[in-house]
Amino acid sequence: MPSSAQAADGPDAMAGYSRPGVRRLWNWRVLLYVVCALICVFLIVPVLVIFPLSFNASEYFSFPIKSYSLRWYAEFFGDPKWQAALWKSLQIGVLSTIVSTFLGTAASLGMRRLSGPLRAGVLAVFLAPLVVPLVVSAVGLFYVFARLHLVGTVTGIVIAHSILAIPFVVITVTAALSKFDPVLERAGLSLGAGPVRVFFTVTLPAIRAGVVSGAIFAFVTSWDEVVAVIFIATAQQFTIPRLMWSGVRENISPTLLAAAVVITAVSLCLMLCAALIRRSDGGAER
Amino acid sequence: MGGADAGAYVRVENVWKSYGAGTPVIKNLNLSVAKGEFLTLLGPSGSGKTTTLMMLAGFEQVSGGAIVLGGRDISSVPPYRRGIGVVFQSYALFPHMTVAENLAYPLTTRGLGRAEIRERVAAALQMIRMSDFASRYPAKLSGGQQQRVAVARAMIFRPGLILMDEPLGALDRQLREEMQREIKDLHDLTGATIVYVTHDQSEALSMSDRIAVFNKGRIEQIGSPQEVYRNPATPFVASFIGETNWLAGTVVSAGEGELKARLSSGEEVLCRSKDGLKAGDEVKIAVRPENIVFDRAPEPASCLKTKTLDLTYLGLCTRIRLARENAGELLAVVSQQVPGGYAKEAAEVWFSRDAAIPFAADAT
Amino acid sequence: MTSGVADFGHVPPLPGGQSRRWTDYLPSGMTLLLLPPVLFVLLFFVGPILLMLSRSVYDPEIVDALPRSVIAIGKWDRTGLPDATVKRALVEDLQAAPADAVGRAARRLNSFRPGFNSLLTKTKQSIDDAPEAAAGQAVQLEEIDPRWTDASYWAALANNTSSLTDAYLLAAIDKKRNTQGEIVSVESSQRIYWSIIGRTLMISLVTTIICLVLAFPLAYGIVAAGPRLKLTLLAFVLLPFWTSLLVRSVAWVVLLQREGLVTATVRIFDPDFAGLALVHNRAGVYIAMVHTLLPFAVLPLYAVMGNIPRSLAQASFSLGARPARTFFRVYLPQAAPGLYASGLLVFISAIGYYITPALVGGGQDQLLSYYIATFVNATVNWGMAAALSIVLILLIVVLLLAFYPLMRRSGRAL
Repeated sequence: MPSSAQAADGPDAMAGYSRPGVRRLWNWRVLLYVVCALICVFLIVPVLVIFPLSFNASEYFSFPIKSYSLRWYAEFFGDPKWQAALWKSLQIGVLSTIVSTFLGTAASLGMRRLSGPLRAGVLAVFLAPLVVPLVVSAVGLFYVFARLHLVGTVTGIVIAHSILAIPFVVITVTAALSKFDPVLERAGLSLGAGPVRVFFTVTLPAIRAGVVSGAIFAFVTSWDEVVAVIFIATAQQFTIPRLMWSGVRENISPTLLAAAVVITAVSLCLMLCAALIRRSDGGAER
Repeated sequence: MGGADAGAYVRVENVWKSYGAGTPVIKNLNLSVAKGEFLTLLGPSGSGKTTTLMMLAGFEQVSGGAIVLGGRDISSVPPYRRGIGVVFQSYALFPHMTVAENLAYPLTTRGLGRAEIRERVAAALQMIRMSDFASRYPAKLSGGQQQRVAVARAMIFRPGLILMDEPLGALDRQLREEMQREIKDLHDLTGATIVYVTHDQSEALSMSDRIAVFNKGRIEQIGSPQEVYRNPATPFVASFIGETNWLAGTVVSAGEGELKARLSSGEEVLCRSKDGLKAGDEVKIAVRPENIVFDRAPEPASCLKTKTLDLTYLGLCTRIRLARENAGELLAVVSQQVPGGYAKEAAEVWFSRDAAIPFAADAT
Repeated sequence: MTSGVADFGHVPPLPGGQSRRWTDYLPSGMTLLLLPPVLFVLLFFVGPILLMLSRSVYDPEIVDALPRSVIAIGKWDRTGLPDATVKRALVEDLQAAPADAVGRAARRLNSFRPGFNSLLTKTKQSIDDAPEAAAGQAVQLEEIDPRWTDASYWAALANNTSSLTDAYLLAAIDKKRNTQGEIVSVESSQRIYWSIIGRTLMISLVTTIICLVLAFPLAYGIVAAGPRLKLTLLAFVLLPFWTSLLVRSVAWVVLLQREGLVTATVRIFDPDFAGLALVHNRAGVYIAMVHTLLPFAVLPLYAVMGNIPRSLAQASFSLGARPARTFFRVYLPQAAPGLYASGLLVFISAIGYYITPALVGGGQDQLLSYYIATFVNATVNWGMAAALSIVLILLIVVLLLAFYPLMRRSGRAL
């Protein structure tokens, strides 16, 4: 019996599309998308421009580029200073990711049963590093780390980056948990699994995508971070962004652009992965 | 079907609608609505009924053909100059305006004086019995109240034509029946012309003066509720409105006002005649469950041998599932007291000739 | 199915039977899991910032170095010069205190009375070198340096007799205590912080307005686009959003500098183009800040606009409202929460900006964060760094308190 067919899909749903006074609004739409295109060019040009320049054989930034070469990348990967920075960045990024993913996930799980002002207060504490200006956070950490002899240590930077990354993990995992139906946990309990087993077999798989994309955000946060390392790192503890920061204030060399391309490529790939993970996860739920 | 009547208030003439290069969602549609009529567009989702409504409202452009309102071609008139009231499925009440502000909105756009607006809003609130809710925001209203405000807002500027897009879809059944009655009352009270879209056949049957049954971008049949129920023009209409038993067979002889067919299970049955069907044609015959009776039906009638499978008692009536000998199931609905001891017993059931409607086997 | 009950085969009983395992006693909802992250954040974020901020009112360096002097000068009536007891106390302090402690106190005092640093260091040096000190003879401060006859130096000391001080907070808003201890404005030539605060607010406000003006059509375009175009436009917003702030700032330096790509591009059409420096000035700061913050404006706006039902605009049209009226009376009020959210996010981010203005801007384009960093890195003045941090945090709190309710109220009916 087709008499109880569901509404709101197929061409009928498309019919909500608003195109009143088609001809006039069509011109408006052309104008709108011309404006959008210009804004998009503004948004993308600075990101794109570093790519060709880093492959420029010439030492000067000039367009059009006459010949391409990999010499600046050879320099980047050959220079022990950049090598050390790359290794430091990776090391600090991985450690901060582990710490912040663990703590952020614990925070989200711990907040599940809270509600009202208490929850809002706890959440505000975890998200505060997003609102407090970076320089203030970094100066505060520097002030205390100087007394704890953590300045210039990997531990100090990992702590600082974990603090800055926890909000992102809390946001993604809390979002994943909000879509998770706690009845599934009761179902697990009713089927004879204990709370720990239920957590690892029911809850964790359901929020896995949130945890993984939170971890990616955490890594990228540490990978790109410069303000905290300016204060907390010393000459021996240069990450790539820190080295770029000192380099750029003297003179922007093509090697520096090669470094910029490397960190940008890593960030973009990881963020794309995070987006795809969330997308496929959302698709599976529907 | 339903050729446009020159004197009608609303005429849809040879309208096509397609998105881009895709297959048209509306194919050569013709429809006319008389002044004061309550016309329902009924069909499954994706059948084009909402698209038709949106073209009437002006939110969709026609790809071909014309829409004429009160003798004027409004096909390219923007929606804000059409003066047609629309009640949306989601109500579309402005969430940042109070009930009174929502009701006043179409009057202020028309530049009415303040005193008159206040008067008409008060009258409208009284009409929908919501005078106490004037300064509430829509989010603070129940579904039924929002519905009433949406209807009142579409009517307050006294449009000649009001379009309603599944306005009761979001309400629970009891409230839906109540609102059906209220909309009917408002229709009678104001004499407005209403075009109403629904996929709910019982809503269509109970409210409409006429029903247009949509399927795949076409109108299959237009007629009064009795007409589309009793004399479905196509197998689609027969199945979409109400329940139907289908019997497959071959025409044995075509006589005056009657056909004799041999079912694939062997029995010979009598049914109404139909143009174009002649001896030897494959047919499928529609019989409504309530027309299948256990006592001998008044002649001319046909008989089928069945066994009772089970009974479902529904209060007002009883549904009986019957198994035919080597030929699938039949559904019967009886309203009188069911004699006991039916289960698994052989039963002869009857239906009269006029209750059996034949269609060519390949018709849809 | 023949039998009434389906046979699912043999199911073993639950392990453990009726006895409970320790895991069964775990608190429900795992609220205890909050403990490690809360401790971590309190210990390494909230705590350090509060400690650092406390330096704006807590400054023990002068009291630590000159304990006798600060007690003695408390009795000074601030008319004329302090009496001999004060001077004797100062000499004793200078004899007792190690040179680095005196140096710290001297730098601190120098920020209230320029010249104090050299005066105190010189005095300390003379006392340490002087043989009279060992002989216990009176040291005449005026003979070491005639500046000790200037009451303003003594006043600076008298204003800092406690470990608790309001001097830094006052300095952060261009106020100070005069020789009488009253709060007065500093000399107009030294008034810099109000103009820095004003500049920070101004640059943030202009950046926010430009961001909203650009974000509105873009967000609307994304909402109104078909699925493929929507994805493309979102990619254009997200790619820069995902790129490091430092990299984008560097890219803008490359683009905007005098011999940069903008100049080079113009030269293609006009070989005689002299070159236009857009870096190290305000225009460059606006360009780079708008670029780095625009995604923050687009995304909340897009989220809000995407949830505005199309039927609202349709309803407005059907009720006789023209497009302009529909936009201002129906669409804009619905988009307002998004505008507030985007504006707030951009403003709060902009007000704390450091990297981008430091790279792209000139000396007159730096925001509060830059001065905080400079006080920590260059002059090691924790008091001023903390006081300016408090100003920055107060600005953000005021903004949040002012705009958050507005955002909530305009979103109330949604």
